[in-house]
Amino acid sequence: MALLSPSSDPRTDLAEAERQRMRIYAALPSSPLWYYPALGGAMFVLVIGTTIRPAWLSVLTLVSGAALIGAVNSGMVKHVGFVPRIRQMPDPLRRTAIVAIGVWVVVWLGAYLSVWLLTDSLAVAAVVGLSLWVLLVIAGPAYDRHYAAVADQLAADADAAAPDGRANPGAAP
Amino acid sequence: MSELGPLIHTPKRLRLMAVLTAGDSAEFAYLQQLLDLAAPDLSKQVKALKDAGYAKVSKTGRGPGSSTWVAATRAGRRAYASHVAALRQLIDDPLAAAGSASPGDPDP
Repeated sequence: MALLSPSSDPRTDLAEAERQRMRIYAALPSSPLWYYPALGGAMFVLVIGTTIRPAWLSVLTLVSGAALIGAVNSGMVKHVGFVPRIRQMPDPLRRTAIVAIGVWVVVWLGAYLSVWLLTDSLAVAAVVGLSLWVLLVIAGPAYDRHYAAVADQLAADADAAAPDGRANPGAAP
Repeated sequence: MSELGPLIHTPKRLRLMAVLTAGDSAEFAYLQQLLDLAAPDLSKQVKALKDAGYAKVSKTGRGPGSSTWVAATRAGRRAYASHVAALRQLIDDPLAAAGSASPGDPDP
């Protein structure tokens, strides 16, 4: 191991790195207003796609839904400017993200498979798709608020734990 | 064995690597705002990391809508993890850490 600079204190360096890491999540911009409605719209298209006939139109609808999900997520990444890695998140945020994603995947897959396997009715599929849309539009922002609160708390804890207690490290030399 | 990386050791690059290794990629403007650095300064730090093989830079789009994205490479992630582990070791057991010191391990 190389001891590099006599002027640097490892405790300060480590706290600075930790504080910077926590600030990432607190500084992330909130989801744009269009995000959850657009994502819900894509889910809606995917759900009704299974009941549309003829088959080629069904496939076209499903492909369009998948493409829409890609476009919405791409727009979201552009808006936020950062692509986090779930496994690199601090524990409380990782748990929050995993639970939210897990619940959503189960709900969506359950609805999708139910429509696919149990009905050919476009009307029923539309009701299920619309319910998913409403659920996402309500639950999405609620998740964002919870996530932001946890992130703010983590950033505040990291600031408080830093040796110099600075709230904003600013541009270090 | 954990090693302090001379390149990551400076405060600005340490903070930059802390952000880059937490995600897949980060947009230049977001990094600028988060790290509170001027664009030329951030460019300089990113270039140093890129030259060392610790970061890669990509551009998306064209014209006014284009954006520059920075990501940590695998080597960069390893170097950062090793640096942080070495700092922890220095804090937990400074004597042992000093005993195993090998000055001037230049990073790639």
